[in-house]
Amino acid sequence: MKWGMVIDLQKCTGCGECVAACKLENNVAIVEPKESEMGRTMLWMDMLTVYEGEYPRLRVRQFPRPCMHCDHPPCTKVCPVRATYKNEEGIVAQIYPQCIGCRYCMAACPYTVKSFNWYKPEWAPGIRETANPDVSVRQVGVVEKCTFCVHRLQKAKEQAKSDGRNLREGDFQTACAESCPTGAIVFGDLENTNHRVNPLSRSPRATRLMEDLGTEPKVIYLKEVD
Amino acid sequence: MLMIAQVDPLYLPTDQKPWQEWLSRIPQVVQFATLIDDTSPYADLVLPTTTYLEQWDMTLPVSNLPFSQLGLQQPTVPPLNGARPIGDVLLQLATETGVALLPEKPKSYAGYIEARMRPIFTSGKGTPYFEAVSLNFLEELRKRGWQVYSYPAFADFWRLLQEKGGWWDPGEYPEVEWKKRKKFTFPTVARFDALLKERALLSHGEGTQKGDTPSNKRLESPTRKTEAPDSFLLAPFTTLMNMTGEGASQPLLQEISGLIPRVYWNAWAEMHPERAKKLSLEDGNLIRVVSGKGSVTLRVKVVPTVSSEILAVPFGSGHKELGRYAKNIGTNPVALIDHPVDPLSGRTSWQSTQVRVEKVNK
Repeated sequence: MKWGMVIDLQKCTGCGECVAACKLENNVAIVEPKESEMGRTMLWMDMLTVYEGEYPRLRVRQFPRPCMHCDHPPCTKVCPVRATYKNEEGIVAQIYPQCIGCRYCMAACPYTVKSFNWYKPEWAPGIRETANPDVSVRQVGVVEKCTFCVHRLQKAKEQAKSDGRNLREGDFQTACAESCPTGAIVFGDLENTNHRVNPLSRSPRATRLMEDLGTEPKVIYLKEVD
Repeated sequence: MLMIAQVDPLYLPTDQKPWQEWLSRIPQVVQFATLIDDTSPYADLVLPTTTYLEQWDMTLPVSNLPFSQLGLQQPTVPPLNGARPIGDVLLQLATETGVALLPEKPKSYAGYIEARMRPIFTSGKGTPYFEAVSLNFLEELRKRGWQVYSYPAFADFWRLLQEKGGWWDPGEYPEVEWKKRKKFTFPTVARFDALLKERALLSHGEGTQKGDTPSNKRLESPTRKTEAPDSFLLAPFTTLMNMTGEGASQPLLQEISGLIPRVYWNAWAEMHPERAKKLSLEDGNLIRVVSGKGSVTLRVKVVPTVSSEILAVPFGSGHKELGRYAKNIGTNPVALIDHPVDPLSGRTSWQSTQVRVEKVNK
């Protein structure tokens, strides 16, 4: 089993719904304006914009950028306390209580997907009630990032076990994939031929970010067709 | 007495000073709002109302299409916390004061809307929204006495309206040739000229010649052209996350409204790379934007997607009220707008204010 994600850039409109869904699902702290100006905004799922060409042939390309959950993750190799590791299903996980906040992993990640938690997470009354009880909040001084909504996987596994069956496609979806209004984000088991991500990841349009680094990302982009 | 519902004139691109004076002069101002907004301090009474997700309404989805259209808004959730839709409040007031809005005397605003749709059904004009049907085909069907959808009785028409979300009559305008394809795009040159005549206006363009399109005719005074190196036309625009500013009350939307330029919790000023280079400005520099109405300080975002004579500033932050996540956070470009009147529509234009840019050394 190897969890992965395929993002079809032909379908992505850059609306940012995945970014909002991710923040809400994972209790990603909202950083106040002053701290935000210092570059401390935390986005587990980001939206990158690239401008190509010049007017009148200018193209604006946008692509959602979660953690790539690399098969050869540079971040796990530099962690001195094994607070980040790749689990047996391919998810690059973080152990928050183990993290010492050295931020080596942030420096090592070529995709800049990790955020440092500068503050004790606080939610104002009213907003606290909307927090997701399935996701622990991260303490001050630790690094955090996209987990492929692993808490949903745990729930789905427990449900499948109690039903006496194997995990099926669709039992487990990340919040970004679930919320995408155009269905541009598809999530599943890359090794399972019954999962949509399997054939999609082998599409002629399939590409990975910075493939030459040898990190083998498990987030695969389907290129736009001009 | 003035009743204001679901609009915030003291924040939106209106000339705010006259609004402040008018509201101060009116003996009783009653506001129906979902949040305490920038207009609330001028109201004598602020009453809660429902959001668009909790109420029926008739809307104009795109305001400047040159044909008749009507959007039907339906509630997706029941009203929360006992708030009442403004339509129902007005109906009750009408009943209590003996004003008959419609002969049917509808009991709810939903019933009122349904009754208002009957004349459209009776007229036989237009159709509930459709997709992927060409205007030619629509016209052909109409000539033959057919409809895109079949709605022999009003109940069928009403059901279709709810399913499709509204009604339109695009057949009111002819198709025009655009890029060698028969496609509806803009009103024709002839229609544009007729509009000019109707409003007794002259075009500053090349005149009506063969090949002219409405888009290459200019009505604005040539003196509005920006020629000074630090001069721009201000183009406030809405962002998907914050739209006309209501989103600012939500911290999540405030934080990610500037996802593309990577500016959070604030507005920014988009400038073309060539102009930025001439002004020795780089991405992230602070600038003071000055107009005849005022000045604001913003960060520059150098992007090739904006025309060289335009300074595009997003609209949505810089509230004086609207809760702890919006109050006094960010900048509202409305402070710069000098509200010239668009000669064609007669409305104030909020995208033609000339501004000057100064670098702030900080």
